[in-house]
Amino acid sequence: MAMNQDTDDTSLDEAIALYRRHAREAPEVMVDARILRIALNSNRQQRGMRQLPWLVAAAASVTIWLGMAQPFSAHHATSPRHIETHPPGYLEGSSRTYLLGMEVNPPTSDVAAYLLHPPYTLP
Amino acid sequence: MSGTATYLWVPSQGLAMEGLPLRWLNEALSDKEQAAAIALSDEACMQRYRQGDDQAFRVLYQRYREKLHRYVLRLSTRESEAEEVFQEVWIAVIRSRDGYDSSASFATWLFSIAHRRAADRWRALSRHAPDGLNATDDLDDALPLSTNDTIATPEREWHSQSLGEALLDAIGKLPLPQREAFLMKAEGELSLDEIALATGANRETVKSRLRYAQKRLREVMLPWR
Repeated sequence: MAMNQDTDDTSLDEAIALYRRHAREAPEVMVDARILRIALNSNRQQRGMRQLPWLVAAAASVTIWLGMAQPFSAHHATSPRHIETHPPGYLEGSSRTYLLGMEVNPPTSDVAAYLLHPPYTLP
Repeated sequence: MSGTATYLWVPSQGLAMEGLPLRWLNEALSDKEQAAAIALSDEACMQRYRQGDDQAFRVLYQRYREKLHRYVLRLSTRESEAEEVFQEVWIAVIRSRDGYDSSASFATWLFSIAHRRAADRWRALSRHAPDGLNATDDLDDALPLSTNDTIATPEREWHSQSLGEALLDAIGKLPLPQREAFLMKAEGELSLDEIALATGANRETVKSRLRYAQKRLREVMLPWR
Protein backbone atom coordinates (compact mmCIF):
# COMPACT_ATOMS: atom_id res chain seq x y z
CA MET A 1 0.00 0.00 0.00
CA ALA A 2 1.30 3.41 -0.88
CA MET A 3 2.65 5.56 1.90
CA ASN A 4 0.27 8.35 2.80
CA GLN A 5 2.22 11.47 1.90
CA ASP A 6 0.22 13.77 4.13
CA THR A 7 0.65 11.92 7.37
CA ASP A 8 3.63 9.68 6.76
CA ASP A 9 1.79 6.71 8.12
CA THR A 10 0.39 3.71 6.37
CA SER A 11 -2.25 3.12 9.04
CA LEU A 12 -4.37 5.95 7.67
CA ASP A 13 -4.13 4.42 4.20
CA GLU A 14 -5.16 1.09 5.68
CA ALA A 15 -8.11 2.65 7.46
CA ILE A 16 -9.20 4.43 4.30
CA ALA A 17 -8.88 1.29 2.18
CA LEU A 18 -10.82 -0.72 4.73
CA TYR A 19 -13.43 1.99 4.98
CA ARG A 20 -13.91 2.08 1.21
CA ARG A 21 -14.41 -1.66 1.11
CA HIS A 22 -17.13 -1.60 3.72
CA ALA A 23 -18.90 1.71 3.15
CA ARG A 24 -21.33 0.92 0.36
CA GLU A 25 -24.27 3.19 1.07
CA ALA A 26 -25.85 4.95 -1.89
CA PRO A 27 -28.62 7.52 -2.26
CA GLU A 28 -32.07 6.31 -3.14
CA VAL A 29 -32.98 6.14 -6.78
CA MET A 30 -35.83 8.62 -6.36
CA VAL A 31 -33.42 11.14 -4.90
CA ASP A 32 -31.19 10.68 -7.93
CA ALA A 33 -34.15 11.18 -10.23
CA ARG A 34 -35.21 14.34 -8.40
CA ILE A 35 -31.78 15.92 -8.60
CA LEU A 36 -31.30 15.06 -12.26
CA ARG A 37 -34.72 16.50 -13.05
CA ILE A 38 -33.79 19.73 -11.29
CA ALA A 39 -30.52 19.88 -13.22
CA LEU A 40 -32.31 19.31 -16.50
CA ASN A 41 -35.01 21.91 -15.80
CA SER A 42 -32.43 24.42 -14.67
CA ASN A 43 -30.53 24.04 -17.91
CA ARG A 44 -33.71 24.42 -19.92
CA GLN A 45 -34.53 27.62 -18.08
CA GLN A 46 -31.04 28.92 -18.67
CA ARG A 47 -31.29 28.12 -22.35
CA GLY A 48 -34.60 29.97 -22.42
CA MET A 49 -33.03 32.97 -20.75
CA ARG A 50 -30.23 32.92 -23.28
CA GLN A 51 -32.77 32.98 -26.12
CA LEU A 52 -34.83 35.73 -24.53
CA PRO A 53 -32.85 38.67 -26.01
CA TRP A 54 -33.24 37.16 -29.47
CA LEU A 55 -36.97 36.73 -28.98
CA VAL A 56 -37.30 40.31 -27.75
CA ALA A 57 -35.29 41.56 -30.70
CA ALA A 58 -37.42 39.55 -33.11
CA ALA A 59 -40.63 40.86 -31.56
CA ALA A 60 -39.31 44.42 -31.75
CA SER A 61 -38.39 43.94 -35.41
CA VAL A 62 -41.86 42.65 -36.21
CA THR A 63 -43.44 45.57 -34.40
CA ILE A 64 -41.30 48.08 -36.28
CA TRP A 65 -41.99 46.35 -39.57
CA LEU A 66 -45.74 46.42 -38.97
CA GLY A 67 -45.50 50.08 -38.05
CA MET A 68 -43.63 50.90 -41.23
CA ALA A 69 -46.10 48.92 -43.30
CA GLN A 70 -49.04 51.11 -42.26
CA PRO A 71 -50.39 53.40 -45.08
CA PHE A 72 -48.94 56.89 -44.87
CA SER A 73 -52.39 58.38 -45.11
CA ALA A 74 -53.08 57.10 -41.67
CA HIS A 75 -50.46 59.48 -40.30
CA HIS A 76 -51.37 62.44 -42.53
CA ALA A 77 -52.44 65.61 -40.82
CA THR A 78 -55.63 65.66 -42.86
CA SER A 79 -56.86 62.21 -41.96
CA PRO A 80 -60.62 61.57 -42.33
CA ARG A 81 -60.91 61.82 -38.56
CA HIS A 82 -59.94 65.49 -38.79
CA ILE A 83 -61.95 66.28 -41.87
CA GLU A 84 -65.09 65.73 -39.98
CA THR A 85 -64.13 68.30 -37.36
CA HIS A 86 -63.13 71.11 -39.81
CA PRO A 87 -65.69 73.61 -41.12
CA PRO A 88 -66.66 73.34 -44.79
CA GLY A 89 -64.03 74.92 -47.14
CA TYR A 90 -61.25 74.78 -44.53
CA LEU A 91 -59.13 72.29 -46.45
CA GLU A 92 -59.42 74.17 -49.71
CA GLY A 93 -58.42 77.38 -47.98
CA SER A 94 -55.42 75.88 -46.21
CA SER A 95 -54.23 74.22 -49.43
CA ARG A 96 -54.51 77.49 -51.32
CA THR A 97 -52.52 79.29 -48.62
CA TYR A 98 -49.81 76.65 -48.76
CA LEU A 99 -49.54 76.81 -52.55
CA LEU A 100 -49.42 80.60 -52.54
CA GLY A 101 -46.58 80.54 -50.05
CA MET A 102 -44.43 78.22 -52.18
CA GLU A 103 -41.24 79.55 -53.83
CA VAL A 104 -41.97 79.81 -57.53
CA ASN A 105 -39.03 81.93 -58.71
CA PRO A 106 -36.36 80.12 -60.80
CA PRO A 107 -33.07 79.27 -59.04
CA THR A 108 -30.60 82.10 -59.01
CA SER A 109 -27.43 79.97 -59.09
CA ASP A 110 -26.15 76.65 -60.35
CA VAL A 111 -25.91 75.37 -56.80
CA ALA A 112 -29.53 76.30 -56.07
CA ALA A 113 -30.57 74.69 -59.34
CA TYR A 114 -28.72 71.52 -58.41
CA LEU A 115 -30.26 71.41 -54.93
CA LEU A 116 -33.78 72.00 -56.24
CA HIS A 117 -33.62 69.21 -58.79
CA PRO A 118 -32.63 65.58 -58.33
CA PRO A 119 -29.43 64.66 -60.20
CA TYR A 120 -31.24 62.46 -62.71
CA THR A 121 -33.18 65.42 -64.00
CA LEU A 122 -30.05 67.38 -64.80
CA PRO A 123 -28.57 67.16 -68.27
CA MET B 1 -42.89 -1.67 -12.96
CA SER B 2 -43.60 -0.06 -16.27
CA GLY B 3 -43.87 3.37 -14.70
CA THR B 4 -40.47 3.16 -13.09
CA ALA B 5 -38.72 1.02 -15.63
CA THR B 6 -36.21 3.69 -16.50
CA TYR B 7 -35.06 3.86 -12.89
CA LEU B 8 -34.39 0.19 -12.38
CA TRP B 9 -31.01 -1.04 -11.36
CA VAL B 10 -29.59 -2.78 -14.39
CA PRO B 11 -26.01 -3.81 -13.65
CA SER B 12 -25.26 -4.96 -17.17
CA GLN B 13 -25.99 -1.59 -18.74
CA GLY B 14 -23.98 0.73 -16.58
CA LEU B 15 -20.84 2.68 -17.19
CA ALA B 16 -17.69 0.85 -16.21
CA MET B 17 -17.02 3.30 -13.42
CA GLU B 18 -16.72 2.55 -9.73
CA GLY B 19 -19.64 0.16 -9.63
CA LEU B 20 -22.24 2.73 -10.62
CA PRO B 21 -24.22 0.82 -13.17
CA LEU B 22 -27.47 2.70 -13.27
CA ARG B 23 -29.35 2.50 -16.51
CA TRP B 24 -31.22 5.72 -15.98
CA LEU B 25 -28.01 7.64 -15.57
CA ASN B 26 -26.83 6.41 -18.92
CA GLU B 27 -30.00 6.67 -20.91
CA ALA B 28 -29.77 8.90 -23.93
CA LEU B 29 -26.01 8.45 -23.88
CA SER B 30 -24.70 6.57 -26.88
CA ASP B 31 -21.62 4.38 -26.53
CA LYS B 32 -19.57 7.05 -28.20
CA GLU B 33 -20.92 9.74 -25.90
CA GLN B 34 -20.30 7.55 -22.86
CA ALA B 35 -16.72 6.96 -23.87
CA ALA B 36 -16.21 10.66 -24.44
CA ALA B 37 -17.84 11.53 -21.12
CA ILE B 38 -15.69 9.07 -19.18
CA ALA B 39 -12.57 10.59 -20.66
CA LEU B 40 -13.50 14.07 -19.48
CA SER B 41 -12.15 15.44 -16.23
CA ASP B 42 -14.52 16.68 -13.55
CA GLU B 43 -13.62 20.24 -14.37
CA ALA B 44 -14.24 19.72 -18.09
CA CYS B 45 -17.62 18.14 -17.30
CA MET B 46 -18.55 21.11 -15.15
CA GLN B 47 -17.47 23.47 -17.92
CA ARG B 48 -19.65 21.59 -20.39
CA TYR B 49 -22.58 21.59 -18.01
CA ARG B 50 -22.25 25.35 -17.65
CA GLN B 51 -22.52 25.56 -21.42
CA GLY B 52 -25.78 23.64 -21.35
CA ASP B 53 -24.67 20.02 -21.66
CA ASP B 54 -27.01 17.97 -19.47
CA GLN B 55 -25.08 14.75 -20.00
CA ALA B 56 -21.98 16.29 -18.48
CA PHE B 57 -23.89 16.82 -15.26
CA ARG B 58 -25.05 13.23 -15.29
CA VAL B 59 -21.46 12.07 -15.51
CA LEU B 60 -20.45 14.33 -12.62
CA TYR B 61 -23.39 13.22 -10.56
CA GLN B 62 -22.61 9.61 -11.22
CA ARG B 63 -19.03 10.09 -10.11
CA TYR B 64 -19.86 11.79 -6.84
CA ARG B 65 -23.33 10.69 -5.77
CA GLU B 66 -22.20 7.86 -3.50
CA LYS B 67 -19.18 9.68 -2.15
CA LEU B 68 -21.14 12.75 -1.21
CA HIS B 69 -24.00 10.68 0.15
CA ARG B 70 -21.70 8.76 2.48
CA TYR B 71 -19.99 11.97 3.55
CA VAL B 72 -23.22 13.65 4.66
CA LEU B 73 -24.63 10.40 6.00
CA ARG B 74 -21.74 9.96 8.40
CA LEU B 75 -21.87 13.56 9.54
CA SER B 76 -25.55 13.43 10.37
CA THR B 77 -27.50 11.59 12.99
CA ARG B 78 -30.48 10.65 10.85
CA GLU B 79 -30.70 9.34 7.32
CA SER B 80 -33.51 11.73 6.42
CA GLU B 81 -31.35 14.65 7.55
CA ALA B 82 -28.47 13.39 5.41
CA GLU B 83 -30.78 13.06 2.42
CA GLU B 84 -31.93 16.65 2.77
CA VAL B 85 -28.39 17.95 2.99
CA PHE B 86 -27.39 15.76 0.05
CA GLN B 87 -30.11 17.30 -2.09
CA GLU B 88 -29.35 20.81 -0.93
CA VAL B 89 -25.72 20.39 -1.93
CA TRP B 90 -26.55 19.24 -5.44
CA ILE B 91 -29.13 21.97 -5.88
CA ALA B 92 -26.48 24.47 -4.80
CA VAL B 93 -24.11 23.00 -7.38
CA ILE B 94 -26.77 23.37 -10.06
CA ARG B 95 -27.72 26.90 -9.13
CA SER B 96 -24.23 28.23 -8.61
CA ARG B 97 -22.63 26.50 -11.57
CA ASP B 98 -21.79 29.81 -13.18
CA GLY B 99 -19.79 30.75 -10.11
CA TYR B 100 -17.57 27.69 -10.34
CA ASP B 101 -13.93 28.51 -10.94
CA SER B 102 -12.54 25.77 -13.16
CA SER B 103 -9.03 26.40 -11.87
CA ALA B 104 -10.05 24.73 -8.59
CA SER B 105 -10.81 21.04 -8.37
CA PHE B 106 -14.46 20.14 -8.65
CA ALA B 107 -14.21 17.76 -5.69
CA THR B 108 -12.90 20.54 -3.44
CA TRP B 109 -15.69 22.85 -4.57
CA LEU B 110 -18.34 20.17 -4.07
CA PHE B 111 -17.16 19.23 -0.59
CA SER B 112 -16.76 22.85 0.45
CA ILE B 113 -20.42 23.39 -0.45
CA ALA B 114 -21.30 20.24 1.46
CA HIS B 115 -19.32 21.45 4.47
CA ARG B 116 -21.14 24.78 4.50
CA ARG B 117 -24.56 23.26 3.98
CA ALA B 118 -24.01 20.70 6.70
CA ALA B 119 -22.65 23.31 9.09
CA ASP B 120 -25.58 25.64 8.43
CA ARG B 121 -28.11 22.92 8.96
CA TRP B 122 -26.63 21.50 12.08
CA ARG B 123 -26.03 24.92 13.50
CA ALA B 124 -29.68 25.68 12.93
CA LEU B 125 -30.56 22.48 14.68
CA SER B 126 -28.35 23.55 17.59
CA ARG B 127 -25.95 20.74 17.12
CA HIS B 128 -22.23 20.91 16.86
CA ALA B 129 -21.33 22.24 13.46
CA PRO B 130 -18.35 20.64 11.74
CA ASP B 131 -16.71 23.94 10.97
CA GLY B 132 -14.29 24.27 13.83
CA LEU B 133 -16.36 27.02 15.42
CA ASN B 134 -18.42 24.89 17.71
CA ALA B 135 -16.44 21.73 17.57
CA THR B 136 -13.21 21.16 19.34
CA ASP B 137 -9.83 20.28 17.94
CA ASP B 138 -8.21 19.77 21.28
CA LEU B 139 -7.55 16.08 21.37
CA ASP B 140 -7.78 15.97 25.16
CA ASP B 141 -11.10 17.77 25.15
CA ALA B 142 -12.52 15.91 22.22
CA LEU B 143 -15.36 13.55 22.88
CA PRO B 144 -13.51 10.38 23.82
CA LEU B 145 -14.48 6.93 22.77
CA SER B 146 -15.74 4.89 25.65
CA THR B 147 -13.38 2.58 27.49
CA ASN B 148 -15.01 -0.36 25.85
CA ASP B 149 -14.43 1.16 22.43
CA THR B 150 -10.81 1.92 23.17
CA ILE B 151 -10.00 -1.61 24.17
CA ALA B 152 -12.47 -3.15 21.78
CA THR B 153 -12.10 -6.80 20.98
CA PRO B 154 -14.21 -8.97 18.70
CA GLU B 155 -15.86 -10.48 21.78
CA ARG B 156 -16.74 -7.18 23.44
CA GLU B 157 -17.85 -5.54 20.20
CA TRP B 158 -20.86 -7.82 20.06
CA HIS B 159 -22.67 -5.55 17.61
CA SER B 160 -19.83 -5.56 15.14
CA GLN B 161 -19.65 -8.60 12.92
CA SER B 162 -16.42 -7.67 11.22
CA LEU B 163 -13.51 -5.32 11.33
CA GLY B 164 -15.16 -3.22 8.66
CA GLU B 165 -18.25 -2.75 10.74
CA ALA B 166 -16.18 -1.89 13.76
CA LEU B 167 -14.27 0.64 11.71
CA LEU B 168 -17.46 2.27 10.44
CA ASP B 169 -18.71 2.36 13.99
CA ALA B 170 -15.50 3.97 15.19
CA ILE B 171 -15.65 6.56 12.43
CA GLY B 172 -19.15 7.43 13.54
CA LYS B 173 -17.83 8.04 17.04
CA LEU B 174 -15.05 10.38 16.03
CA PRO B 175 -15.54 14.06 16.92
CA LEU B 176 -17.07 15.92 13.99
CA PRO B 177 -14.02 17.86 12.77
CA GLN B 178 -11.85 14.72 12.79
CA ARG B 179 -14.60 12.66 11.22
CA GLU B 180 -15.14 15.24 8.51
CA ALA B 181 -11.44 15.45 7.70
CA PHE B 182 -11.25 11.66 7.44
CA LEU B 183 -14.33 11.49 5.22
CA MET B 184 -13.10 14.23 2.91
CA LYS B 185 -9.92 12.26 2.46
CA ALA B 186 -11.57 8.86 2.15
CA GLU B 187 -14.55 9.86 0.02
CA GLY B 188 -13.44 13.02 -1.74
CA GLU B 189 -9.80 11.97 -2.06
CA LEU B 190 -8.86 15.50 -1.09
CA SER B 191 -5.36 16.48 -0.09
CA LEU B 192 -4.55 18.29 3.15
CA ASP B 193 -4.58 21.63 1.36
CA GLU B 194 -7.88 20.87 -0.33
CA ILE B 195 -9.48 19.80 2.95
CA ALA B 196 -8.18 23.01 4.52
CA LEU B 197 -9.70 24.99 1.65
CA ALA B 198 -13.02 23.19 1.86
CA THR B 199 -13.37 23.50 5.63
CA GLY B 200 -11.81 26.91 6.12
CA ALA B 201 -9.28 25.50 8.56
CA ASN B 202 -5.53 25.82 8.20
CA ARG B 203 -3.32 23.00 6.96
CA GLU B 204 -1.83 22.16 10.34
CA THR B 205 -5.24 21.93 11.93
CA VAL B 206 -6.38 19.53 9.25
CA LYS B 207 -3.23 17.50 9.69
CA SER B 208 -3.85 17.33 13.41
CA ARG B 209 -7.44 16.22 12.86
CA LEU B 210 -6.34 13.45 10.53
CA ARG B 211 -3.68 12.30 12.97
CA TYR B 212 -6.26 12.06 15.68
CA ALA B 213 -8.65 10.13 13.47
CA GLN B 214 -5.84 7.86 12.43
CA LYS B 215 -4.87 7.19 16.05
CA ARG B 216 -8.39 6.32 17.08
CA LEU B 217 -9.04 4.09 14.10
CA ARG B 218 -5.74 2.29 14.55
CA GLU B 219 -6.74 1.48 18.11
CA VAL B 220 -9.98 0.02 16.87
CA MET B 221 -8.29 -2.09 14.21
CA LEU B 222 -5.57 -3.37 16.54
CA PRO B 223 -7.49 -6.26 18.13
CA TRP B 224 -8.13 -7.74 14.68
CA ARG B 225 -4.48 -8.01 13.78
